[in-house]
Amino acid sequence: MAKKMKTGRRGFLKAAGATGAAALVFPHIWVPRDVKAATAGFDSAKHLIYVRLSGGFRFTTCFNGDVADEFNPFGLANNYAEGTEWGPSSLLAQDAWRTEDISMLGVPALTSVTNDMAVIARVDHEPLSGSADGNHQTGLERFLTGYVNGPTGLFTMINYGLRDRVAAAAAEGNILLPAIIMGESGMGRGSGKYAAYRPPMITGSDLDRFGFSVDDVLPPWAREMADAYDDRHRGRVNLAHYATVDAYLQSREATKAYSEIFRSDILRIQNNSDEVVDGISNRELELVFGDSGVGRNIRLALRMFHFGCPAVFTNQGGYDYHSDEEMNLPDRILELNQVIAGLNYALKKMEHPEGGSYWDHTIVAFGSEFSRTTRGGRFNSARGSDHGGDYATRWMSMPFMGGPIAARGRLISQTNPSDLAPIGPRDYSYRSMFKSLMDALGADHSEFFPADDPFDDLFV
Amino acid sequence: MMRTQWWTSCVAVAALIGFGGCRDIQGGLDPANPARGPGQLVGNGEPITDGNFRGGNDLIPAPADVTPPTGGAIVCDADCRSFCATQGFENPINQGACPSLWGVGLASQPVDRTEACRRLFVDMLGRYPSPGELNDTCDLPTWGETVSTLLDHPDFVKVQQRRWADKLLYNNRAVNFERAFDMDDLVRKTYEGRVSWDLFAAVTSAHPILVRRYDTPEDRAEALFKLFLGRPPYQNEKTDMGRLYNLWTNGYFEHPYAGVLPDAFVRYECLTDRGEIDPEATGPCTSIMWGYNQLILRPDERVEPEGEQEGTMWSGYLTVSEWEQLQAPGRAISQELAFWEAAVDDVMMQYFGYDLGTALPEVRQAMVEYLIEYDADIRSVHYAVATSALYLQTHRGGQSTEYVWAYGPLKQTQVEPWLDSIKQRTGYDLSQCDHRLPFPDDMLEDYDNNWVKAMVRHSDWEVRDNGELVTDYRDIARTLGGCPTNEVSSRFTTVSILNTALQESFVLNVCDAGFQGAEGAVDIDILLPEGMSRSAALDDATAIEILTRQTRLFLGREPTDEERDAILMHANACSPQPCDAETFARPVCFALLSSAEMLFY
Repeated sequence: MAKKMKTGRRGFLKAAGATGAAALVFPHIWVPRDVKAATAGFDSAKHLIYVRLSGGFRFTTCFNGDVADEFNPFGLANNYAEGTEWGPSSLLAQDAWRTEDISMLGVPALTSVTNDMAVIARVDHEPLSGSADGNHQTGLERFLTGYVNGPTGLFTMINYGLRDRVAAAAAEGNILLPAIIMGESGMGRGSGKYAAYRPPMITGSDLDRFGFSVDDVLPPWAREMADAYDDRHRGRVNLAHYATVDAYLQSREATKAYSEIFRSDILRIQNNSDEVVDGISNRELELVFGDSGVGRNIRLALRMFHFGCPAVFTNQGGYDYHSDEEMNLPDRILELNQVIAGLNYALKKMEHPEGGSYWDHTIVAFGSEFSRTTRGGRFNSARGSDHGGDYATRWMSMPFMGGPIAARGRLISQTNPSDLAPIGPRDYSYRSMFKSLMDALGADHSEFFPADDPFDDLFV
Repeated sequence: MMRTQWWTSCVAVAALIGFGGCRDIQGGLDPANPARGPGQLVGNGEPITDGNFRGGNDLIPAPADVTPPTGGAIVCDADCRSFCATQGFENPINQGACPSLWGVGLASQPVDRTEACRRLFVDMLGRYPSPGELNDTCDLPTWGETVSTLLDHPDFVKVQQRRWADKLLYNNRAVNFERAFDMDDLVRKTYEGRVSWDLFAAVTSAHPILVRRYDTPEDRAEALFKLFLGRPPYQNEKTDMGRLYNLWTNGYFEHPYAGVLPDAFVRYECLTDRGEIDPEATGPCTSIMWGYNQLILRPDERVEPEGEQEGTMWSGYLTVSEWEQLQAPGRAISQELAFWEAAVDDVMMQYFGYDLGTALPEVRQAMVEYLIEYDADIRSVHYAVATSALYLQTHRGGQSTEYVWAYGPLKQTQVEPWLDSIKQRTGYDLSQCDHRLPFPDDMLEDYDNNWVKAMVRHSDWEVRDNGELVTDYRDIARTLGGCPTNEVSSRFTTVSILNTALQESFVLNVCDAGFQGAEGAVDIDILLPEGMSRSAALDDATAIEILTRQTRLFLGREPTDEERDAILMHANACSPQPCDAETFARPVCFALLSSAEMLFY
C-alpha cells in the first residue's frame, strides 16, 4: 500500500531541539529578506540533481552531436524523440542496461525521451578568455567553485542562499536537510561567514551506518554518562578553547535531532523494501538505477529530497579517455544512459509531498570540468581524446531536464558543425548557468558572481 | 655533508632511471616498489646530522617579577632583555618567546606528562599512545630523549608522508602513480634526515608529481611558492619563475603494464630550427630575479619522433645533470630568507595549530638560525618545537589571556589518528588507506594483468583473495574528511552534524554499547580489568575498576576524583538491574571513545 507523507515538506519532523539543530547548521540571526527573482524560472524548482561527468566529458559524443566526425565519431542516433533539436548521439541509444525487468517497469529508452532535455551548446568557464581551460586541476576548480581557487563551493552557495528558508522552517520546529555533496569536497568549500553553510558529504552507503539511532539503542543512563564526560572536559579546558570543544557538544546535541531523519527506513536504500513511499519503493529504485556507486547515490538523493534536501551533487563516470575511448566509451555510457532514463521515469512517477510529481519540482543537470578534443581526427592516435585550449574542449554542451525546464527539447546557442566555431553572440558562462539554477531553487545568489547574470533561456 | 655530493654518488641509480622506461622497458619493474623518479637520486647515504639536537632540556623559569601585560602589544624593555639573556635557553623557541612571555611577567602553563605524551604521539606518530608507551617512551630520563625516540620511529615518517601527499595532491588519475611513490620515498629520506630541506625543495620543484599536476609554467611557479614560501607569488615573481618552468609540458607515457599514464614531459624552447640556442630568443628561458638562471635543453635521440608528443621527451629519460638543471626553481627560492621562515612556520603550525611565527617573529628568527645550524635537517625543527616550553603547556584551566602562546594548544584530531587510535586500542578490524594511490579501484578494474594487481596488493590497501578491494576504512574516513582523493581539494577536518553522527555510530558499533551484537565489536576482555568476569555483579568497586581500566586504556590517564564520583552515580543508574560488568563496561567504552577528549588533544 502506498505510503504518503501526511505532512508537507515542512512538517515531516517536529522534534525537540530542532531549532538548536538548525542553528548549528546555519548559525546566524534570522532576519527575513526578500530574495529577488532574476529569471523567469525563479523559485520554480524545489530540488536539483547536479551530476559531474568526471574526468572531462566529450559532450558532443552525446549532446549537440549533430557535428563533424572529429567531434562526434559515433554519429547521430537513428531514432529519437520528436521535437529534439540538439542532436542526440548514437551513444545515447546504447541500451544494454535496459533489461527486461527494467523495461517492464516502464522505464523508457533514453532516445524516446530526448525531447525532455534541453541542451546549452556553449557553456564556457570563461567566455572572455582567449582559450579553454583544459587542465584537470583548474578546470575542476572552476567547475566546483566558479573560479580557480574559488573560496566558496557552489553547493555552499546553495545552502547560504536558502538560509532564510531553512531558518523559517526551523522556527516552526521543522528540520530541512541541507544541500548534500557526494564526492568532491571542493563543492563544499566555505570560509568566514560561509563556513557554516558547508554541505555535508555523504555517499550512497554512508547512511546505512545509521540503521538505528544511537539514542534508540544506547541506554539513557549511558547517554547521560557520555554527555557528562564531555561537559566535564569542556569545563576543564582553558577558556580560550571553550568554543572549540563546545562546538562538538552542540553538534552532538544537534545530531540527536537529525537522528530521526538519518535512521528513517526511507533512507535505507539497500533494504529491498517494497513499501511504497512517494509513489515508489526502494526495491524499484534499485532496479531502475542499479547498485553501482552513482546508482546508489541517485537513489539516496531521491530519498533525501523527501526530507527537504534542496540539492545533491554526485560524480558519474571517469571519462578521461586519452586512449581506447573508441572501445570503452560505449560501455561506460551505459551507466549514464541508465541514470538519465531512470530519472526521467522515477521523477515522473514519484509523488511530491507538496503536490504534483517530483518531475514537476526537480531539475537534473550534467556538467564536467571541460569537454574534450582530438585536434582534428575522430580520435587521437591512441584511439582516445585529449583536452587543450580549443573549441572542442571549451564548449560544455550541458543537458538539463525536469519539469521546471521549459525549454525541453531545444538546443540553446549554436556551434558550427564543421569546426565548433560559435554561431551567434551568446556564450553562457558557467557561473551564470549555475546562478540560473540557484534562481530556480529560489536561493539568494546576490552575493555571488556579480559579473555573471542568470538567464531566462532554460525557463521560457 | 656537502649539498652537491649526492649527484656524484647516485650516478648508477640515475642511469637506471634515465635510460629505462617508456617503450624500451623490457622488465625490471618491481610491483612492490614502483617508485621511479628524481627522488631516487638523492638521500641514499647517511643522515646529514647525528640527530642530537640542542634545546631539549631547558629549565622553565618563573616569570620576571613585573606586572604582566593584559592585552595589546608587548614591549620587552632592557630589564626584560636582561632577564631573558640570563636564562641560558638552548631551545630556540624558548629563546625567541622569552621576551614575550617570562620576560614580561607572563607565566607559562606547564603540562603533565600524560597530556604531553598524548599530544606528542598524535602530532608525531599519528595516534594516541598505548599505556605501555606512556609508561616507557614518555618516561625516559629527559623529555628530549622521548622526542628523539619518536623522531626515529617509522610512524613519524608516515605522518609526514601523509602531509606531503595532501600538499602535493597525490592522485593516480592525474599523475603517473610511480611518481607518487617516488615522491613519497623522497619525503621519507628527508624526514629520516638524509636530505636537507633546500635539497628537498630543489628536487620537489622539478618533480613530476608537481609539474604534471599543473598546466602552465606560471601555475607551476605559483604552486612552488605556496609549497615552500607559504604564499602565492607576485605577478613579476610568477612570470620570472615561470621561465624556469618553461620546458615542462604534460604528456602521456605508456607504462608497460599499467597502460597510458599522465606524466611529465620536457619540451625544447628557445632554440633555432636546427636545435641550437637562439641568442635572440632566450628570454622566455631565462630568469633574473634570483640571479641569472638560463634553462635550455637541447634535443637528441631521446625525443619522441612522431605522434602527438612529437618533439618532446618523457621525463624518465632525463639524465642526472638535466634533472639538476631543471631543479633551478627550488634552488632559487631557497636563497630567500622567506624560504627558511616558511619551513619553520610550517612545522610550528603542525604542532601549535596557530601561526606562532607571525605572532612572535623572534621565535621564527631563532628557529631559522637553528635549522641552518643543523645543516637544514628538518628533524631539528620538529625536535625544537616538541621540546619547547610553549608546546609543553597544558590546554586545561590556567590563566585566560589573549596571548595564545601563554597556554597550551588544543587541536582537533584528524581522521586517521582518530580511527587508528581506536583500532589500536580496541583491536577493531579495519583495513587502511594508501595515500600514494587514492584510486586503487581504477588499477584493479582497468588493467587485467598481474603486475598491476600485485602493485596494489603490495601497497597499503587490502585486497581480498578474490581481488575485491577492502574499503571499510576508506568509506568512513572519506566521509569524515580523511583519506582524500585529491581530485581538487584535499582533506578536511571539521565538526559537523554528519561527522558527529557518523563518529557516534562508529563508536557505538566498536563498543557494541547498544548490545546489538555488532559485528567485530571489541572483545569484552579488553574492556574489563584483568581477571574480571563479564558477568560479575556491578557494584561500586567494580564500576571504579572498569572506569580505571578504560580511562588508562583509551585516555592514557587515571580517572579524576570527579569522574570516580560520577561513575558511581551512573553505575547506580545502570539498567536493566541488576547490571553486570559487561552491561556497564560497553557503555563506558562508548562514553570514552566518543568523547571530546578523544577528538581534541
